[in-house]
Amino acid sequence: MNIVDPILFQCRINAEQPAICAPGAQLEPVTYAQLEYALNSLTRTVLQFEFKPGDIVGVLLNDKIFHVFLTLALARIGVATVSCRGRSLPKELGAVAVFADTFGPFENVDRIIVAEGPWARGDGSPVSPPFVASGDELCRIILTSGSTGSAKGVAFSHRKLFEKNARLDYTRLDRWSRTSRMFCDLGLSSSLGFYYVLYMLGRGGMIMVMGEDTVGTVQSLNLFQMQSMATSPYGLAEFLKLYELQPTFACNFDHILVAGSALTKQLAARAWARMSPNLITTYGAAETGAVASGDARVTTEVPGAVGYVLPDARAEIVDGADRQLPRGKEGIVRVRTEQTADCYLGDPTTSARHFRDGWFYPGDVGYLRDDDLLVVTGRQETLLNVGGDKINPEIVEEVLSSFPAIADSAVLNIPNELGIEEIHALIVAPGSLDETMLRNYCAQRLQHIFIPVRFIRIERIPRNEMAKIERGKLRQLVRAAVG
Amino acid sequence: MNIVEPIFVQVKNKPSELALCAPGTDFNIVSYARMQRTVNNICWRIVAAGISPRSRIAVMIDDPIHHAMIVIALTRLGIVTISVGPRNNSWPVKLDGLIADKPHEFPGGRAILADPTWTAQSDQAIDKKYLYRAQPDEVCRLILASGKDGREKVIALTNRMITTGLDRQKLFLGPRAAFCGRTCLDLPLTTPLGFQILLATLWRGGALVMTRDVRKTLAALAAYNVQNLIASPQGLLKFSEAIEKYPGSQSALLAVFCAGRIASQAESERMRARLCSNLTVGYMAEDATMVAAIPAHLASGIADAVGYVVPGVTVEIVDDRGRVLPPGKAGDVRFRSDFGATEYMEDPTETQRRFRDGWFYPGESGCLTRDNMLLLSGPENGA
Repeated sequence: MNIVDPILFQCRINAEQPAICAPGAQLEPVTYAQLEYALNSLTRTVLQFEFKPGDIVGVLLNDKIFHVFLTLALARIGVATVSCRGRSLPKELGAVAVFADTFGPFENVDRIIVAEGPWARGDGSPVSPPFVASGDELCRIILTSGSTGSAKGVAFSHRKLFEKNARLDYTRLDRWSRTSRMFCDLGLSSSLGFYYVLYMLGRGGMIMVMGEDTVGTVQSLNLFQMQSMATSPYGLAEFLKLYELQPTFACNFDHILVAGSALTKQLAARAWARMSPNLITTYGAAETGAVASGDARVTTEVPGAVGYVLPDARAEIVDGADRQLPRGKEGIVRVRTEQTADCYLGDPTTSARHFRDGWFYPGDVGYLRDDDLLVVTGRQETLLNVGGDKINPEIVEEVLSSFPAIADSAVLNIPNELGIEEIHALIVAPGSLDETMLRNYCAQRLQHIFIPVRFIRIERIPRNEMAKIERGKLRQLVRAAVG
Repeated sequence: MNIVEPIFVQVKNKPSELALCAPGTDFNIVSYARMQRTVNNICWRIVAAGISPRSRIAVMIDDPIHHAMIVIALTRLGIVTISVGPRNNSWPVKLDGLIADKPHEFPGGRAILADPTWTAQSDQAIDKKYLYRAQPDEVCRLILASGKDGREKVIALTNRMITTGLDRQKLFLGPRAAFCGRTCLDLPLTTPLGFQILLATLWRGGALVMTRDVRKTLAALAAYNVQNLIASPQGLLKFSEAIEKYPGSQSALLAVFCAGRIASQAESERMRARLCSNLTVGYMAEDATMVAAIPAHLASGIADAVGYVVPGVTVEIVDDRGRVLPPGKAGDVRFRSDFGATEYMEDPTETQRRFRDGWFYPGESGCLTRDNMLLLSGPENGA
């Protein structure tokens, strides 16, 4: 079965229901009938480009609804898609083309096709493409967050995507599966962003994605009675600031799903009070799918807790020699589900580091409690080592970002002239900043050695579509700022 | 993954919420926490009885909640279950035992009496060493099928087949059904769909109302704000009649699913008028595959329509030589999917008759329209 087949079935029985919406130039949602029309029209168009089943094609389009439609049309003809974040794709993917808004250089892809809006408004009558999916054909490539290095491609077949979607009914606790209208703040290039689009459209529900501007989107949330929101902690914080600045905006979400990185109790408390009393946290990876989930009222009580291990997932804590450690002992986290990928496409070196004996090693450090609560205490590769003492950078960043004048922050280690690693902080502070007050604030919350030796003001912290800090870019930013 | 484990995720999340309800029975209403305690008690009983994993056990329990909890407990321990109604001692497949609520002989195996004291014990959590870690292609459930010829056959369902079936419900149960948290089931757990709905509802942390007394059930639908009703055509007529008989009854259902063909347009309109205008009809074949489904109003006026073929199933119409016929031409129906059964257990004769070359022949005649709607006209030619 092709991933598009359930959506087309919903188009048949739910023709006049709203399907997808991205508030902006067009306020009204696209109905299932319109979706079917556009899909048929786009399928005819993409058939003309003579792709072969199994070809990998990039999609880089600003119009999110068009992006979704084109991705589904390509899936219909057996082409595997990867949603791009910029004008490059990893060479290992071997992408044969990319659909973009404009011509121009595109790293590692020679064939650039400018996608045109009228493609979706041509002949929308039913079309039967020659490709028939058995299920094991390549359908989608997700570029992982690459928060510690370059992006890596994880490949999924139609079957694997169905299996991952089927789990969504119980891996997000109970309220999630009853949502018929979801707002997804996660980008289409992220694994979760794409799954949620498939999940909602495959069930006949309605999904809203971020429109042209945040305020317009927020105003549409109540207009269309969106019931739930999927976001990252960073996204949650951004929306929270907006709601706190606009007291007349009512936030009516029944629940909010937070994924991508740890949700702090401080942020959760403010979100409960202003946005929704039900926050669900989930932990997983593009490489495995969800591994743990839980109610934030439980997970935020234990620093680093990400959720209870799900029944069809396994999590173990091991030492450096892959020996399993007892419950409560901190070590390297490894996880597996029945949908775990085998490797990163075309990257055996990185694959060997992260995939071993059926397990995936996400690069996290943590421990498992007796009640199967998984607690992540840090990242193996991003722990900041200051003269032998280590700290999770997120801890320092949380302290900095909680200072009133700071909107965002990221920290990194830079060796001084004696070769000793010292913490430097990149901060986004739109207004004035009293550095002495900031240092005193940090001193009350951090050990002395972990207080940044330098604060460097920049305009924006680089983050990917899951709102994770792109740590590989931080050093460049420091160099650019200080010369 | 053991197919009942997601239920216990919901127990952790919402212990005091309604899980099961059977108005008019001894259990009446059961929360997730009480369900877990009861399942634990039953598990200990089963362990003490020495029933080992992979045994095949028939469950003959009249009370639907008691029945459901025994099946969940057995499955949790890796025991293959088959739900049956009252019957004699003739069985179409070899079984290792029977759990019944009345004394019953079971030659060749064990007969265990499950009286209500089973459910009230120490409430101690079952030791993890007894929890069975199932593999996707292991059989976990047997379904008793009885075709037009009245002959009993057994279908074996694996964990993978059941999991896929649960996910497909979002397609065939019809508009809005996927978003309903509280469901009323008027099908017995002995049916494949009945068992699937039980699992799907509890997986998602919903509440399942199982029918006994129609009037009490109608009251429960109102009291507990039940949103979805799944029944046979006869069951839906029964509900429709009850609402007509008691004018104070109102239906606030958001979706209704009819498992089987509605006899006439008039009956369909009556059900839609009394119960819910959002009525979907589904055709499930003897091998437990839901082949086609359609909102009733879309099938209005189309004679013999049973529904659009549900994604994942391939249907063909063939002549008596097995040649595929074009849309609009009538012939023998056959279908296949990745998740359907491939045989009748321990019945090679019937298997050979119905399962051929990767296809299942349900013994129906019909045709396909150009837009993949299946029309069924009668029994197989020459049958």
